[in-house]
Amino acid sequence: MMETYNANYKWIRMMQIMQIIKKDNWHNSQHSHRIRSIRIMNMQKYFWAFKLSFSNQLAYRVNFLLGRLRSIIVLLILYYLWTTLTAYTGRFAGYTREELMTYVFGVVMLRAFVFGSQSRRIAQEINDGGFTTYLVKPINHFVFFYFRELAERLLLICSSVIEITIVSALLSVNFFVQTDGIALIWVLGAILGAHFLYYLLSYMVSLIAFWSREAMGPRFMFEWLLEFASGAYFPLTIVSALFFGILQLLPFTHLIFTPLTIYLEKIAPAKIPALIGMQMLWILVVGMMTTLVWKRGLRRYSGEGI
Amino acid sequence: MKKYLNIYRIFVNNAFSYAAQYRRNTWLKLFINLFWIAFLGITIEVIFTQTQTIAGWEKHEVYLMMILWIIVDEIYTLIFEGNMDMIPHIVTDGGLDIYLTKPAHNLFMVSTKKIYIYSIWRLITQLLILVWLFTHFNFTIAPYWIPIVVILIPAAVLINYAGALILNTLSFWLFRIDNVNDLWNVVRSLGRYPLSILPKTLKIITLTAIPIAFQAYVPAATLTGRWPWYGMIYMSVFTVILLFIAVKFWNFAVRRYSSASS
Repeated sequence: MMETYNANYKWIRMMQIMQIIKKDNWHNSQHSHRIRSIRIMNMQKYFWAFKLSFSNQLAYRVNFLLGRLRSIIVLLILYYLWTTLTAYTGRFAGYTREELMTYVFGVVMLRAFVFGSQSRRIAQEINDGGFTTYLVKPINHFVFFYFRELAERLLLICSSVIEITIVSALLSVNFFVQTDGIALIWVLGAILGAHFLYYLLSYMVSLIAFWSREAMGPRFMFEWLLEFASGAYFPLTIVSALFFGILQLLPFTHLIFTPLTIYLEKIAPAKIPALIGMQMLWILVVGMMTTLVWKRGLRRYSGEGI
Repeated sequence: MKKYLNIYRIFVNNAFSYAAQYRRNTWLKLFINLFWIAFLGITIEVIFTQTQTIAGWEKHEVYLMMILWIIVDEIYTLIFEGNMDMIPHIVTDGGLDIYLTKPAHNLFMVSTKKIYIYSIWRLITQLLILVWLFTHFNFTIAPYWIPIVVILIPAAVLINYAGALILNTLSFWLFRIDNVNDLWNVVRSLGRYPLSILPKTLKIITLTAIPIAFQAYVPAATLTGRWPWYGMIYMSVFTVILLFIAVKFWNFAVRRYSSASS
């Protein structure tokens, strides 16, 4: 709690300094030096947002641990389900048991880094008027929330690595180990792309709150659709070819399925650049759409609840 | 008893008034629920395109288990969920004080105040799906099934309630533990799968310490002849014992509660 208080205090102090700098005379001999200071401050405030979010996550440790226990239980359910399905033949839908286990445990790890929950607050804050406070602060809302999200993601990915290590050791799980350096670089790129793509999609969906007070409902639906279509429940190649073809037209497959497909060598190496290119294209398209929705939404915002 | 019925009637009236103010929300929730059921259905269909059974359970039996789980979950949502979710908040911020000053038992007030009326419409839809399931898969309906369902479904709801109450009561010591409800929901969701997939030790745990097998697995196993008749007696006795423990634990926690705000 003390950490959170200190971080809050530092945040307020920093804001005060920013105000002083802004009011100061820009045409004196210290001009360039001050611009440099402001640039540093501009980034610093986001680091403070990052730090605050990190502290908030750990402020209620039992709550955090319960969240992680939840993740372990999901992992166990999936482990036993897929173990049962591969019990007789050692294979299921073209995947060996090792590959399936790698997929399942990989999903848990990717969920931690890709799927975030911080942007849910955006819809809530737009509805209750809390969003107004961001408009009067010298911050970029998109970047500010991204840093908040990043703090949560980094904490969860560290935690999930520990959980997976313990669970896999206890259950003696065999994994498929990728040794090709180039493939691993592609996987890393795909994971980072998935991380940004999810944030953009999630941010855009939260902005529905500018138009409707019931933004949480569409958000839940979006999350289910996204989890299903991203391959978070099972490898998407299990579904019929037609359905898989339709899913591939959506951006969601690039969140979980693409990185794990590359890792498991389920796609020919020659096709990987095209797949990553497609992911980049989606990031660009969703980014442009988000900008458009943001601009239109701001025009509609009435600051209800201030 | 009459006093409590009157209070509950007032809570129900309030819930209907609230729901009437947000009609669009009710439709939205119904639509979202159908969407979610469809997703679960698609998942089952997808898995069964690759296999004939999951741990000896055929497709229609897995469907039966899924819909029973959903129905029990919906009844729990209707009556208890909103109330259980707020326990960590009211304990942490001192909101519990107001319940302690009411001329009715605090546990009754805390457990029943919030009723999610939209769940009624969802429940009706789910019962229709259950009927469709019976007709579509040609289930044989024996007369003894009706009393079984009448006993098992409310028992499963009460087990869910008792489990949630015990976990949320921990907030008297651990304060803000909102994730405990998420955790309980995920643990309960395990009951959607045929628990034969679990190793023996875990299976025993789901029938004792973490009682999630009762929500769908036991009722479905009974209806499909996998569970012996005395299993029902075990479930009934277990429900009473767990409920007793949960109430005692709550009373014990309330006795050591020191208000946070006033």
